[in-house]
Amino acid sequence: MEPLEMRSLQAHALRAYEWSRWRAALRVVAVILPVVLLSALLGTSVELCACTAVLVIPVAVMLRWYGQGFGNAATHGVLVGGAAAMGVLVACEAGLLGVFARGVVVAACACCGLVAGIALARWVALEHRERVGARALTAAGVASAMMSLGCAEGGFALVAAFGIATTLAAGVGALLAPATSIGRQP
Amino acid sequence: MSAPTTPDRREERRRLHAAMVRFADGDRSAFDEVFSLLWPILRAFTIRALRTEADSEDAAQAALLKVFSRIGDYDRTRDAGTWALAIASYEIMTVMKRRSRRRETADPVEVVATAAGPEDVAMANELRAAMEHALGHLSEEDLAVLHAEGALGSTPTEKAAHRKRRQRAVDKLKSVWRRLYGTA
Repeated sequence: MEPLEMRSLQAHALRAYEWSRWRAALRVVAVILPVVLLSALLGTSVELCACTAVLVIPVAVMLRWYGQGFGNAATHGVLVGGAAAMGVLVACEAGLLGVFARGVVVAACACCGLVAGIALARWVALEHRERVGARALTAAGVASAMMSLGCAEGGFALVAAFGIATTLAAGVGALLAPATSIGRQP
Repeated sequence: MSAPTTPDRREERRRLHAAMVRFADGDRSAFDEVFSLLWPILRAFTIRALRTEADSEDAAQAALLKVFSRIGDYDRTRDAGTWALAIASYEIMTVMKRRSRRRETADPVEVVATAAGPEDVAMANELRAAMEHALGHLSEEDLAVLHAEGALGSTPTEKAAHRKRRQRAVDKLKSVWRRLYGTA
């Protein structure tokens, strides 16, 4: 094969690769959109849902396209944050938040955030041994943004408690991670 | 330049796998390494199967582009070389079908070459491993139907039922293959 043809083939291959990455990145929309729609149906204001979607979708898609661990971190963040938001919304719908004192609910949310943060840091550390902190904090940020869908129903305090706890736990988890994640990808 | 020995080839395949994992994870700097390691493997595989320069180059190019365009679906736990060869084998079959349709050649050509050199054996083994991996996703019932020879059964109804079951198992295998390697 002539060098010119080889260069053309390389260019085609690289283009095919980038398209493949965009396609794979866009799949996360299929997870975010149902959560946003469900949140809108369960009573969260349409403006807030739209804001969250506008914020989270491009960030998650770009991170997944960029990859290098940040894509997986974004995916984990979307899943954890989406589950937490759904938890708050369902608890609100079931009237559970009214049963307990406000402080207890906020504390429960913070505990969930701690567990989520540790899980995110652990997930990242299992896959990578370098830049664990940056990746874990990315995951925590995306999770907190997704969790904001539960804000209107549960109140800002719940989201703040979850977000702060998740970020702190992810940061601490990442600091402790290197000793247990030797042998993973850089 | 002498032909690479088996340990060299094994080392190359290990490097290809490591580079492919990095590349699939978004590390664009691994592109040159993946390309330079993958292209000769695909080229050698297609030329051995198709034996004509033009067809084999077409198949190798198509396989290479397909590998790159399906990198998002690449399962990092699987060997990159085997995955790429599974995709290349489909491209070879496509070229062979096209060739037979056009009646360009009178001789049907086997996918795996008859000359059993060490490379042929290694590649045949990899394809077999890919097929075994795909078969592993089928139920025991489907496997039994696929392994049974001929249309079992004494009555025409039983034979027809067996043929239907076999077709269903083949369809399932095709769908598993498509899911694992993106082609069928």
